[in-house]
Amino acid sequence: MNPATGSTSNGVPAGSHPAGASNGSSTGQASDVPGQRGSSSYVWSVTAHVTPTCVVAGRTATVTVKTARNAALAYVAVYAGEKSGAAPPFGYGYGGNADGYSSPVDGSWANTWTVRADAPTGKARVTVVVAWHQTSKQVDVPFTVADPLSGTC
Amino acid sequence: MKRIMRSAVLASAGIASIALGTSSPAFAATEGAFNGTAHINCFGCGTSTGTAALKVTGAIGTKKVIQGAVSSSYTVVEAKGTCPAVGSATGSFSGAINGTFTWTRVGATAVLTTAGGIKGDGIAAFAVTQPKGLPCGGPVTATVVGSVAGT
Repeated sequence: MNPATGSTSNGVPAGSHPAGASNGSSTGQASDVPGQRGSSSYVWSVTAHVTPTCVVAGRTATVTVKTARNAALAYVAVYAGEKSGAAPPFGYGYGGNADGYSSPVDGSWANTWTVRADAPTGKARVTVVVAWHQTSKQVDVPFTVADPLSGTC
Repeated sequence: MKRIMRSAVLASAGIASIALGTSSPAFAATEGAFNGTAHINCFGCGTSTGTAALKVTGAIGTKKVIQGAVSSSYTVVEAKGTCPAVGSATGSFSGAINGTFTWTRVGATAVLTTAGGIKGDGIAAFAVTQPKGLPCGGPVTATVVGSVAGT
């Protein structure tokens, strides 16, 4: 039940990650470097977690983001086989796609979604993109979808 | 006040914003909201181009109020041959307000940055209206709703 954690990568522009690649980190360390997409003198970071790391299809998962205050952000869950959880036609509707602004108080943001019962089992990820002061950053956080019958990952 | 720009920039990606219920920033001296229609000539075709027609409302600082039509053109990059979960675009907008933008699409939502008339960051959501079914490999039209908060 430990949360999976991702943090910003050094010098990887948002939207440029190859399919299936993850710059998520199990250490939870955020890299305080500006994103490469856009230019800004501001130094900021993104850290994201998914809880639980092993979620049974049909149950809920929560993504938690900590970043700059009042930053614009969005995420999408991507399931085994590179199947987007976004609603059709942008995905298969397995769940996990929302946007918002981080808290003006502490930069936190969270969203809970239901992993549809027929979601593909196996390795999945949440891709979080955050924009702040004309730069954007991407974090990929891995998690696993468990078979609803066995309940194990 | 940061809601102004959203609608203008994102309309092009073929998104359904209403269903996703994008939120507004908690605070900002400059903000805007936008909504409209966006078109991409070929979605999921690698690099393609598109245009958007938007209505924008908002304020710049504490004085200048913006309300009116904005047109946008952009270049999108979406993985070829798939319906990718993530894509990106860069472009410009003109009309009631002028500037440039980038967006990173994640699913039916997007995060954007803007420069020029409004310098900020925002979010948007797309709802595809054409075609019916998977939009990959051809032209896509969508409604878009969004907001931008000044920085």
